[in-house]
Amino acid sequence: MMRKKQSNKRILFIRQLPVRLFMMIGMVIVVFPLLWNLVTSFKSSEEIMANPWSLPEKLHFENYVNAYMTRIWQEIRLIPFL
Amino acid sequence: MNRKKKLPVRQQLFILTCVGPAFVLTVFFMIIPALKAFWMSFFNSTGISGMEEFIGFKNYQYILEDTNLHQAVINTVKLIGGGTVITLALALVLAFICTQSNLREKKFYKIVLFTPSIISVTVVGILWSFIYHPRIGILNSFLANIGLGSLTHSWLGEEATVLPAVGAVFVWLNAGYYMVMFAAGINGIDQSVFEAARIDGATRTQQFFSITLPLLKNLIGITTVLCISNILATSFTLVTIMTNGQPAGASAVILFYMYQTAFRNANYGYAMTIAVLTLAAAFLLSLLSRKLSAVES
Repeated sequence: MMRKKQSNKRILFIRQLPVRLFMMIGMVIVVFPLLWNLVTSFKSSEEIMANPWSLPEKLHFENYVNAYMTRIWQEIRLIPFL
Repeated sequence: MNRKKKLPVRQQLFILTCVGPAFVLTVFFMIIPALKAFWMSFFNSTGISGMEEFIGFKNYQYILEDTNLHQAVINTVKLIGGGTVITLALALVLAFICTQSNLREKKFYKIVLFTPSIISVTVVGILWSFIYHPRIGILNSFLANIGLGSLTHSWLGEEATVLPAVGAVFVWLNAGYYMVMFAAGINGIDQSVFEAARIDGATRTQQFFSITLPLLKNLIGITTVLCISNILATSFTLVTIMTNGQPAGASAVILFYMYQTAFRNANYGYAMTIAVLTLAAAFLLSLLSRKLSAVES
């Protein structure tokens, strides 16, 4: 009885595999660009140019500071909620 | 006429105050500008100086000779044709998997697939133009790393690849959105139909083609219209940000060409002619797809 249940589970797992694989590829296609964007935002320009796949050697938070200092943000910052 | 009971004056006044502002705003900011655009399409005007010259149907005649416009129309038709079919087909399959499969994590898939559509189109355009970048983009280096180095392109710089590249971004952006719509439609179908099919031994594929598709026909018709208008609008944003109509107009879509004609070439009258043409085309397309879905059902 126990063994039958287990083998049923295994059959179900194998039958689900193609669909699951398809969905996993879809997940990667959707999530990876966003994740890449996040990781790259911590890299320096030289690192980005050298290798798009590398992880940042040091977290460059100054990218965010620089982005915050651009003119458009200075205008938006006038909104009291920020 | 007398069958309708007349509402009391107080109630009539209330309805008038509710509808009035919206009606006035619609007339002033949508209907009058649309009529004005139609009227302007008969003029030779820059839109900047006050000089306007009535030239009748000359703008409409020029449409036939303007090869740039023809290119833009062909590009738009290609994007609409490919984009709608691929987006909706993918969305249908994903919706079917996310609602009817027995995967445990299907809710998670639904949430993740929907994320792209909550991001601003501008941000997505910038992000993907970095992904397509010939030197620092991940797409090219990914292809080179898995041994398909011969497939690398400068995706947004070649006439052959620029339209598929922009179309792919549209699919990436909107497949999840239409998937949610279709998922709602599939959840609206009585589950006992699926159960009966399962008892009769129908496979998933059979269920998809002989239950889901026929019962969603109306929804598919509506989403097709929505998708077409969405492509018309989104392609302008994506093209403006990602390629600016380069190379040599190979990625110019009709709204982008209209914008360029009006505000860069200062040929306002002709731009309005293109706008009227777009309006007529969009109207015809939605009429056609409504008719098609009505005939099928």
